[in-house]
Amino acid sequence: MKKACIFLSMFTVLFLSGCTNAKYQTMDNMTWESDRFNIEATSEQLLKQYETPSDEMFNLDTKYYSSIEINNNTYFCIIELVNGYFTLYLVQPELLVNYYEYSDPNIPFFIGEFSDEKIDNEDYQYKLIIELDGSSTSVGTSDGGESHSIYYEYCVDNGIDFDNSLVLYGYESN
Amino acid sequence: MLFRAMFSGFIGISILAIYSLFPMAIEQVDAAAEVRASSVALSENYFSDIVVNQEGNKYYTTAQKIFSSSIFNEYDLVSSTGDFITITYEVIVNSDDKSMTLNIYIEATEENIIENFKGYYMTNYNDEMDVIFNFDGIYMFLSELEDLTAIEQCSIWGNLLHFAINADLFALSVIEPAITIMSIIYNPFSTAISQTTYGINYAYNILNTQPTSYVTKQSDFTNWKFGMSTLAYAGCEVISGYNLSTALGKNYSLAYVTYLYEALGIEIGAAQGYFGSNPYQISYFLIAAGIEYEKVISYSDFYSKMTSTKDYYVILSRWNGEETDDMIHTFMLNKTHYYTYSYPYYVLKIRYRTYNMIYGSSYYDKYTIDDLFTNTTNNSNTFIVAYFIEK
Repeated sequence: MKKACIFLSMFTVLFLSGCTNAKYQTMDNMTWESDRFNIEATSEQLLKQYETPSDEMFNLDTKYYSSIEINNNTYFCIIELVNGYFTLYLVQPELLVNYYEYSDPNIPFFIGEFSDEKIDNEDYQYKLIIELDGSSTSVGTSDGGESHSIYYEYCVDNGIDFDNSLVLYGYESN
Repeated sequence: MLFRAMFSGFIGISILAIYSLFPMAIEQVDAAAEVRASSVALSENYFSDIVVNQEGNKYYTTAQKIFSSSIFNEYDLVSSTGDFITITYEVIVNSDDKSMTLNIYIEATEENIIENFKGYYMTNYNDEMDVIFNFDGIYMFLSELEDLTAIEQCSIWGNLLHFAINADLFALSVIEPAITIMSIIYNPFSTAISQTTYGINYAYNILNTQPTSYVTKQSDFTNWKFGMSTLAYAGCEVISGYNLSTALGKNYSLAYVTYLYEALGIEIGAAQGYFGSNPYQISYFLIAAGIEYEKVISYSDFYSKMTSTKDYYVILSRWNGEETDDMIHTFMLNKTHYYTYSYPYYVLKIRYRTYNMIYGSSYYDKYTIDDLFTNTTNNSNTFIVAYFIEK
């Protein structure tokens, strides 16, 4: 019985020792680039964005924003890679004229789940395979309405095929 | 009934501490007195002396015991030349990091026998406040050390001794008083530790702007203390409890919910609180808040309830994935069912509105159970526990 108790206590601690709740993608000194939309982000930017409270998020020094290219224009964005979820918010969604009616600071431009792979490749060290969320996730807006991601809504309303694949490649910074 | 009585006591302590946030001075005096009273209960000559002192948030207890030097003879110690040797046991309880540190040394020469051996206050598997020690990777609670046989004590303490010797008779003689003095000290100071740390955290957190609705983005709460960590880093169980209380219309502040988690021992005290909360113990909070619940630890039971037509608020804990370095995430969701008409039938639909599942400024609606789990081939591998609260 005593041995059982000792084992149980060891098991309990070992089990709980993995119990911190948030898994933020912390690969340091990395630069991230995407296969579509020319998303560019650095580890430093992602960490700063993650640590900044929501109400200060849109007042950061611009060097802390990542970037995304849509219709040949580049926009600032905020990216979160937490607990297997990828979200991307536009810093100034009102600048995207075509997407204007879908804009809301609380609505992400992209939502998706990702799995990460460490790659033995001379060009890049990490590959995040992101599956962008289409119809399955609705996002609650600040005024009580519901939406999907801005990009998904835009595709549906304009008869554009929704391509849910996105890959982020991680390169070690020099 | 036992639990209800116990948690009524916890709530009493909670309310007392909230209305008197800094009860340290009273606790210190009481703790010292209780140590002395406990030591009197030992046989008269067990320890030759016990002294309790306090410096800031550290409580020093030193006890001395006189041994016949014969037990040291074979170890060729300078200090073993006389007939008797006095061994000093120093136990330091630090309410800042909720630790207990043991030093054992020979009084005359100050030769260390055991130096800075540190344990941490945390709840054991009997839901009691205890102190956990790490013996080269083997974790044991103080309450378990008390129950070990002499041979088992030798085995586990042997490698910690400062002398390059096998433990045998030496450890048998020297260690037993160490466990005795730690056991005397543990209880009086455990209350003081909880109330000082948690009270200080509450006083700090209540000064922050309290959220007025659901919390959906945990990383906003870097400036909120939880144990020795922060809500941003280790507070998802707390946030799930806060969001549930918000859904139920209870007027709890986030600072108060955080305090309850700490005071009820749901927070894991080891390693300065960095391990977050124990998801199996969220029920303590629910009982304290008077919320009736059903606790489900089987995935098949979970699946059955989640696909039924009954509407619930649910707190779900699951691993973020199946890799060994994946973490736990806990969040609250609002399960509702509705019907859509698709000729010629009405079709049952179920919506899971999640809060703080995906970090963001909003809540997220999911429509399948798979969508509540991430990076998993089989949800039952990553499911931990769920609490169902009927609407």
